Amino acid sequence: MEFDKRECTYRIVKVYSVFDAGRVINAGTARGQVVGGVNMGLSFASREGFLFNQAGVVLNPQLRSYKITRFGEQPEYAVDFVETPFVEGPYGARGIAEHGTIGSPGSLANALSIAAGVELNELPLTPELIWRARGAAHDLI
Amino acid sequence: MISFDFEYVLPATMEEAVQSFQHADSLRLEPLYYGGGSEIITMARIDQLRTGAMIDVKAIPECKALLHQGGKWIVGAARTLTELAADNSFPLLTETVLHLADQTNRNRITIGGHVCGKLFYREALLPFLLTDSEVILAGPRGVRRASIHTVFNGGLRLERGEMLVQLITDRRYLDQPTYTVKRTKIEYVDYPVVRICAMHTGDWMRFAFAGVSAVPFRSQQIDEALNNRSLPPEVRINQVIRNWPLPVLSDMLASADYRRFVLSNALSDTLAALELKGG
Repeated sequence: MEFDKRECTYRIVKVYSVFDAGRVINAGTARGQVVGGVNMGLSFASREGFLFNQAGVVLNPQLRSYKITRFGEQPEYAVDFVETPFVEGPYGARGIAEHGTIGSPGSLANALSIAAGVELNELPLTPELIWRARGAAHDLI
Repeated sequence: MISFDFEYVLPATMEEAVQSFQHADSLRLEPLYYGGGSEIITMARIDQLRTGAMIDVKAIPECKALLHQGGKWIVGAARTLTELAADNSFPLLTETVLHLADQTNRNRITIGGHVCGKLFYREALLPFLLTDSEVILAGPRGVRRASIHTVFNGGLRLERGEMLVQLITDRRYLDQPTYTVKRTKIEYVDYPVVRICAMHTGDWMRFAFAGVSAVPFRSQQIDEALNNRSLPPEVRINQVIRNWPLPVLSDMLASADYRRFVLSNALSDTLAALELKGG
């Protein structure tokens, strides 16, 4: 990840994901599951979220205002598997559908916390949120 | 889906367009001049806009102009952002529109619809504010020529039934050293939190802004403060932000204090780039 210390903006360059898949049955499909899941996780970690006004009305009910990552913003994905056969699964396979989605927001938040020098434990990780978190940290010093 | 009925008119002349508008207006149809339709269609589909008559200006020859004549660059209001970028007569405008919406939308957004529409960012207006361009307008009282500042700087001041026909720019401004910067919330394709267009004309720098406040503008006071070379850049920038002439927006894209932070960095980059380019 590249982080701009002045602007608090960032770019995700490369993502590594390794899972214990039990046994990989179709390598292409398994990789597709992980890449799709990581992408979805990074999208809601970095920008997704409904915004409400004081009356509880959603302010971003369309894809014009509810932004998701675009095709051109994809990082490079390095996906690999560990195989520990799962005795109860078919041919030793284990479900891998959601792991990418669950793991990626945490890894983005950790990477950004190190880069920004401040604990980031809220989503979405917009540059404004990081800027605010860093400002609060400076105030404490 | 658009859930209401409306008349569609495709006039061949400016006079016919204005007459169609007046006629529909007298029938209380809330008519609209129609360029590329991106904004009208988008808003009509979610019921944020209703109209009983759309008057398409794309068949009017003057609105399709795109030429150099007598030292001026003339742009018809019905020309699309893609066409203006491809023409590339004004590199600052090209750079500005290429970071505005996406290609599919730029193919249909017209410069006239962009600067006369309801969305207030109007980023492609900024280069024309820097060049002190003139506009040709057609309305119930005939055709008039006006400075872009009187009609578009700091908000729309078109008269009822008036349409933009052309933007006219002095050719000597087209190749000056320029700089533009756009900062968004996070997406590359989004409305600006801050957009600055700037130009160096010999020993004087000009600046125009969109996204910071609820209207795009160029201000004499800001130009003067930023040109005050007796003060270091950061002092000039602080002064400008402290005396910002309009309320700074606080909305879904950014809070006002974050906007000021982004503006300060963007201005610092702009001054550095202009001083480098302009010497």
